[in-house]
Amino acid sequence: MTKKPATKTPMQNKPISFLSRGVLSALLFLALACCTGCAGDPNNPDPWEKTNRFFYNLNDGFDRVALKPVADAYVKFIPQPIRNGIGNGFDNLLYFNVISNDLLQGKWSQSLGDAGRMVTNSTIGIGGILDVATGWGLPAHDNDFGITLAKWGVKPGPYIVIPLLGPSTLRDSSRYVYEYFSTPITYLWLPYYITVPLYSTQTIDLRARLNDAARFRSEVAIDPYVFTRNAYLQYRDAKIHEGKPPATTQSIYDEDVDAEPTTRPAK
Amino acid sequence: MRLNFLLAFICASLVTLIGSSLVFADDAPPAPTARQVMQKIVTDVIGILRDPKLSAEDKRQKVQQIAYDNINFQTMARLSLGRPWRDLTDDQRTRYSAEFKQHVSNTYGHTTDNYNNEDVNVIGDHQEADGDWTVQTSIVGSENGGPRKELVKVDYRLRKQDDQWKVIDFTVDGVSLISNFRAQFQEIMSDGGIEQLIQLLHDKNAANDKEAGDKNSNAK
Repeated sequence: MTKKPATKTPMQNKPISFLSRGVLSALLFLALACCTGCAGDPNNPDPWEKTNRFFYNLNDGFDRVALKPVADAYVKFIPQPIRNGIGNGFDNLLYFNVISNDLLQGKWSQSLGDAGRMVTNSTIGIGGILDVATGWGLPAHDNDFGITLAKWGVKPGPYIVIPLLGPSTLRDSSRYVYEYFSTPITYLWLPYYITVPLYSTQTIDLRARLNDAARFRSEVAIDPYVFTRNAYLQYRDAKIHEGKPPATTQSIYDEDVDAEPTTRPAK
Repeated sequence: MRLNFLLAFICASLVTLIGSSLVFADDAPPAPTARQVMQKIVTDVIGILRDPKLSAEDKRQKVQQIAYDNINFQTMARLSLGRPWRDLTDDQRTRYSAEFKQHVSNTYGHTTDNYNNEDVNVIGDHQEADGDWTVQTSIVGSENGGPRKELVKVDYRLRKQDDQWKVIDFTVDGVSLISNFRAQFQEIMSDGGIEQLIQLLHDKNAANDKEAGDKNSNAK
């Protein structure tokens, strides 16, 4: 088994604010209720492109006017060691989500390592602020309920862009609902004057960590919407198949036209 | 008599020497494997990026030269377009390929600017069904001053052409660049055809040139 630490790539979609998650669960069930039955073309991963593009642009606009400026200020005014501590703290807080999905997928040794990681960082790492576990050979893993469902044989369903949360599929959207209910802090029922600043900070921290990925996308993408969709679907596919995607993806290299004459005959 | 013997000996040794050198020349350096080619690229690029004597501009140019020597842009451009390539005129192929090459090169230039002392380790390789060879690398570095760990996996797909291995695709954490380009280009093509695609690539490259120009004038 290859141990693959969490990486930051344009495709990665980290857990986002709890606050929106509560609202989201409601939205999702609504969406599921509306859309069950409409299978559409099985070869088209994005049958709801029109709606998705609308939410994509909405998210992008919100990012430009609000999220990115705040995240930039956060990077500018909060020193890096403190930001690292905040980021580690949130990762640790949400880590039960990873451990429980390891278990649901029957990855016993990884779940043990991940449990050891959470215990180590919560105690010696002072409530998760310091990531001592990585140095001890207990690297962070990335796991979620979308991957669990995939391993159980659930198909991804249509691609969807979730307001405020970004790219997902019908299947993968369940991860946010799962995360909400699998995080112990949910059951402390904290008052809003604690939760709102807490989850706002989490969202801003997450956005700041995605800065490199966002810059990469703006440099490479010709059509950012399609870039994001394709990158998300490929990335999730590779994650589910643990680096060994099915042979079907190989077809892009077969559609070679070497056999064709290089110069086009005159018409 | 003695002299004759000596001469014969010298002649014999000369013949052996020439003969063996001919044999050596014959099967001299075996063609490098895809993995060896990739290892050399990685070592050269990291060496350039770590060289304290080179300016940012020097580094970009040297890395770009390595990219030009080792990437098969023509195949990349063709595979990124897929089937519609067959229906392009020679002129369209030339213009599209040129803009595509420029776009990929620009992306490469940006990565050299963002280099932060990462290591690139070649961690594996395997042959694909069609004879291509995939070389896997792992980029290890420190994120925000934290402990060093694997940041991302990059797989390079190489194809042999004229007895030389050249890179035809990059797969970053499971995301193939060609596959991603093809998805984008397909959608653009169905919308406005090849001319719109060439125009969009052209605009992107022009914006990049402008940005680079601004950066240079700011530096002065």
